[in-house]
Amino acid sequence: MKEFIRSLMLVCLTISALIMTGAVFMTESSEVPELLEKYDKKDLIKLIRPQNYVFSFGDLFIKIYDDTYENIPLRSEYETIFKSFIEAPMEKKLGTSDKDSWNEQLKRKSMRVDYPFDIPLKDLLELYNYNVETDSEEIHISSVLFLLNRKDVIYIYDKQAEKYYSLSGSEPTEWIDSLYAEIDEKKLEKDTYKPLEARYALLQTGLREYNLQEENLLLTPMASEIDFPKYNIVKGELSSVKLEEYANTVFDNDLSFVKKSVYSDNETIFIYGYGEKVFKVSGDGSLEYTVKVNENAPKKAIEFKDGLEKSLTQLNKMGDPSGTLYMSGYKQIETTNAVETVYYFNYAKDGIPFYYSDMRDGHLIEVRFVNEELIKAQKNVIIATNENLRDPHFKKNFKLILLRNRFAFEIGYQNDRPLTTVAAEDIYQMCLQEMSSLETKYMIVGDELIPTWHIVIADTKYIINLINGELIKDSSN
Amino acid sequence: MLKKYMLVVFILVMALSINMISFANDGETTEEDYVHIISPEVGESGKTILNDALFISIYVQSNDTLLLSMIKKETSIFTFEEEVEDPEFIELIPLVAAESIEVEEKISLADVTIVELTKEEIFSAYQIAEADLAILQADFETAKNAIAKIPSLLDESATLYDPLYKLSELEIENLAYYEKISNFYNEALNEYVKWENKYNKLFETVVFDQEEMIVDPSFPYFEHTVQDITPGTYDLVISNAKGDDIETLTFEIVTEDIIADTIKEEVNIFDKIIDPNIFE
Repeated sequence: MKEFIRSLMLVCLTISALIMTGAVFMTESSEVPELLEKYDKKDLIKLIRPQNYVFSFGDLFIKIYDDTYENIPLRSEYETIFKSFIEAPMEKKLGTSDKDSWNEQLKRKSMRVDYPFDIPLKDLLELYNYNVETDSEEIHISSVLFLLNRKDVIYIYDKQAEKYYSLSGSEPTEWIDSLYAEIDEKKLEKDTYKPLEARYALLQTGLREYNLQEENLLLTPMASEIDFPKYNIVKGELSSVKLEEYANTVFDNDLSFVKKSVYSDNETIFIYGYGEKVFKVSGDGSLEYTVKVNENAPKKAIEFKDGLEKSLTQLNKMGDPSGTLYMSGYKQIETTNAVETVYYFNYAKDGIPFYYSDMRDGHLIEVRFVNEELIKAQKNVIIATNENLRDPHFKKNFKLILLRNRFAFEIGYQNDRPLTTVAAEDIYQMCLQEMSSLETKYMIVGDELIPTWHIVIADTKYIINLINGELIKDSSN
Repeated sequence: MLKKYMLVVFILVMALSINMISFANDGETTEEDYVHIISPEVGESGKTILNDALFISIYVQSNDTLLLSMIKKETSIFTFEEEVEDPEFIELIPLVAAESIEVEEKISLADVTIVELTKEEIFSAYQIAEADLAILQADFETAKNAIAKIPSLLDESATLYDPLYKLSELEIENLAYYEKISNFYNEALNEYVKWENKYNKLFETVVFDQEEMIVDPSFPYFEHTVQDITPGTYDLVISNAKGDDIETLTFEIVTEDIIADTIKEEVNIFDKIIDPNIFE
């Protein structure tokens, strides 16, 4: 009898073990989402989005931030043209150019595409599925220029190396003609720009006595009223269920050795083992995942594409990236024992990038690698919805907005150039002469998206609130 | 007595220092006026490309009030309408006798009160003034030739100077004739200029008129945008409060098709910037 009971129990145990094992296998397939899928090049190239498109009409320029313009699919048309040039039959040959020539070409009928970071040309072409064989030095694309009347060559500016190149081949089947004509027909006053020197001729007028040689060709907005709406934003709140889900995916569906701590300021920290991996969720919805650096790993920089793919995988584990996510920055730092690579990502509203002052250069997302290992992924401010606010506000043109902040620029200039011999009454004009950047960004301030100009004069960066025309802050670069 | 001297010296010192102060101020205030039309930039061709709007940018360094006007100039082709041939109207503006020096009876157009002239009247007056000027110019040249040698004979610094030379009766007559005809010529010239201005104005459209260029002294750049501009020839006129023209820019706005031809011609410029080795 005892033998029978033992046998029965053994059979029951075997059956229950089989059932449970089956249950585990059955449920596992549904729990593992698309996160573990491998991203192909199509998914990755979507993240490589131009920062803006500039069309030159001789003395007038149209600068467009968005990927579509008056129903013209700018980005897809640009990519078609670029690929058509690459696919044109003749082998491509690389030549060198210089800054003066580049500046001359900018005044001709052309389309210039600016990238938000210096992307390696070889990696860009490989993402477009081309096999690249080159012995030449590594070239980055900061801007690429297409001339309307010259179809067998494109020009490349590498900001990182401060070099200019020409890439020549045969005439492609697709060129910028029709796109250029469409933009010409549909261009709007609000998007018109003019180079600073063409606008004020500083070298011939206010600063003529200083015998300066280099013209400032920075594009400045010509709109009679600078008018951007601000937006109310609602930050996405993470429910405890969602939070557990994220933790589960971040730790690859294994929370066996994960300790969870919740703090009074709504901060939740998940620690794996003895702190090898940490996942932190802040009260404002920001997420940060860090991994302890493996000091024995060989010194080797991660390949651009591999890093991009791993970044996207990691970001996907930390919540669904929205459709406007794009890669906004990239840098590599080599130290004695390691190569550190940082990928920055951002979102855009009508093509205009967001700016988050708590993060370096305002990017919302940062993914960091040491050698080939991901060591940090930080994702700030999850914006769930936004609402257009059309309050009456300060609507002035470029000249008046800048004049309003004249004294701050003058003081900043004198701090940056303490040995300057420029007369006091000419310093403001010298500020304009030394203005090297002017970009529109939506700054996240509290629960609002504020349209701002980010201006660099001499060595100082200024942020101007376009709702009231006032300076938000300045900081030395 | 010493006190008096000291007082005089003190007053002198004060007076001198006041002068010095005023000289210093003078030095600061005598900054030269400088007006520079930055945009439209037309270069030697005098042409600029047609855009939806015309951007005007002017550097204005002046203590005076300066005004900006812009005029579009049409092609000056005039066709008479039927009533222009009315003989009564033609009689209103008499011709000046061609060779007569007895022209005291000439009726100057300046003396005629004309109210609300029609285009045709202005055109006729312009034509008559032009014809008058042409006739008097010929007389004036003749009179000038007739006395051409006289100044050389009377002028002490001239090589032909002759202190004993006496003017003949004919030369005295010629001089008198020259004096009279030069007066008539100048009068006809003034008339011509007056009617020419009125005639030209028939073919002008004011885009904007006498806009005061108010600038911030710390950044003296005047900006103005003219919307919906059309191709054509324009005058951009900077004038002072008295109405004197300081600077005028005449330029032509052309369509892109015209400019495109120029660009095509200049395509070879790119050969200079491409490494020639790459084409080997």
